[in-house]
Amino acid sequence: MEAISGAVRLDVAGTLASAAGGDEIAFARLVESHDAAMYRVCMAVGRDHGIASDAVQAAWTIAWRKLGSVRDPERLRAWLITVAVNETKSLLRSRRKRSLTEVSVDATSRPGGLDPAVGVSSIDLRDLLERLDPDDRALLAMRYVAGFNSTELARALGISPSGTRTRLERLVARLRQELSDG
Amino acid sequence: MDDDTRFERQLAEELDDMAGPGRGVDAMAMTRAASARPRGPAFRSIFSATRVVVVGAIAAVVATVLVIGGTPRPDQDLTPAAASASPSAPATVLSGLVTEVVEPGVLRIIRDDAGHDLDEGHPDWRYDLDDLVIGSDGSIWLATTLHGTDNRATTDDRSIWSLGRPGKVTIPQGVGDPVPLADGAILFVGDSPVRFDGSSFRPDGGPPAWPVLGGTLWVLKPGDLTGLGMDDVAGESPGDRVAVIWDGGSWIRLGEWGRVASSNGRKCQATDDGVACVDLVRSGRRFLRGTLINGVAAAPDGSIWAIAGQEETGDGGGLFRIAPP
Repeated sequence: MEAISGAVRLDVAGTLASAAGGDEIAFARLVESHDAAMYRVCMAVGRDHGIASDAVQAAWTIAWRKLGSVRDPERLRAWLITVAVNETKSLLRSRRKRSLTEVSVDATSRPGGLDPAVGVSSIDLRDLLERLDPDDRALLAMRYVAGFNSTELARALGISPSGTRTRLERLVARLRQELSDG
Repeated sequence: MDDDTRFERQLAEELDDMAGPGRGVDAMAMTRAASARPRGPAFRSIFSATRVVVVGAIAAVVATVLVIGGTPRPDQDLTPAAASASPSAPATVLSGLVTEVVEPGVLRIIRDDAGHDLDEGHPDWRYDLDDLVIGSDGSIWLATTLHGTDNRATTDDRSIWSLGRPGKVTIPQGVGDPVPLADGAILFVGDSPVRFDGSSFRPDGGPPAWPVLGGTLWVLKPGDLTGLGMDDVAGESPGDRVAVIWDGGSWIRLGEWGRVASSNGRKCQATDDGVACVDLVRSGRRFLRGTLINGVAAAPDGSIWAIAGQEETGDGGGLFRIAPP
């Protein structure tokens, strides 16, 4: 099993190196592997299909130019998602789009009552998340949708892992407080 | 499962739902689009109105420096002076500092005489202080980003610098949190430990434990902490490493360790509402009330130093010294 995972790592490193060198087939392989994850995080942050699509497109354009700066293949996924998230935030700022979004059918069809264990309505939580500052929503999306650990979050935000943990803990506590205040 | 964990789980589910099912994409079409626009969004966006203002401001600052030959601005990378073997401090760290009294016994540091201006005029480009480390010799080290530039994909602009010493040194990516070692160096604990000697970084693959000021630092697997009362490591994956410090009485995570400081029988803690201190007779006092504090550290002279978090608006932030009791 270890030999296989080692081979996979080599393959990823080879694909990354080829893509960085201008190999379009290798780059397309990266697109196939990472586009969906980038799009999902951008959707969670931008709350708009058009913004998420534009952000991911822009991120791939940046990746085409700057892929050579990613030296460690294990950091590629987090780097791509971070670039896409930053583009999402940039688009949100430039379009001055506030958190006015459609409510998805999924959201309305899900039970919206209080979670008996926590005492939080999922509709209230969704509403609160949609009203959040995009930077805060980006932090949450990178943590809970993309699954970034504190080191990856720290790299994405350019702050220390402890600073990242503190910022995340404060944000989650604030959300809980706002929901309990009703 | 406690309420915090349940809430986080619900939060994760809600965000996952907001992210939706993903999408299918024509990878070759995307590739062609990306490769056909080598100067795509980044080129376009740099000429947005906001960027023009920012770029113009930078150009003006640079031009001013060139014309008048003045002191280099702190947001420039300076060649670190005094590339000594270990981070050494000026004789008294307060000499050469421009400060103001913000409340009795508390100074805010405005700038030093080595080119670091913590009160930069542009609200988005001030020093954003993330970590504070005080060496055994009293040197004040600050890990910092230039606020407003740190949300781009590159993190090359994270730096460490010392009060009263010219220049700043770029922190390599992924090196994590700093902690002062007993031998005078600073250890950054991230993916793997890296030692900073005041001018350069080098890997430190030494034993899993290091003597630090006030305790012993251990870098362990989450599973190694079972039974040590560190129940907040549950979210760490088995492959991660956790930095914890034994302070002689209890285990504390490195990140939290930077939020407490003890000196002269006084123990202080960073809070969202200032620095909360208690002394040996348990009488409490809160400094800098209303200020979000990111970290505190004790200096050899008995003072407590604090760094404040900077808000996304550019408000807040700052470096403070609380006088000894």
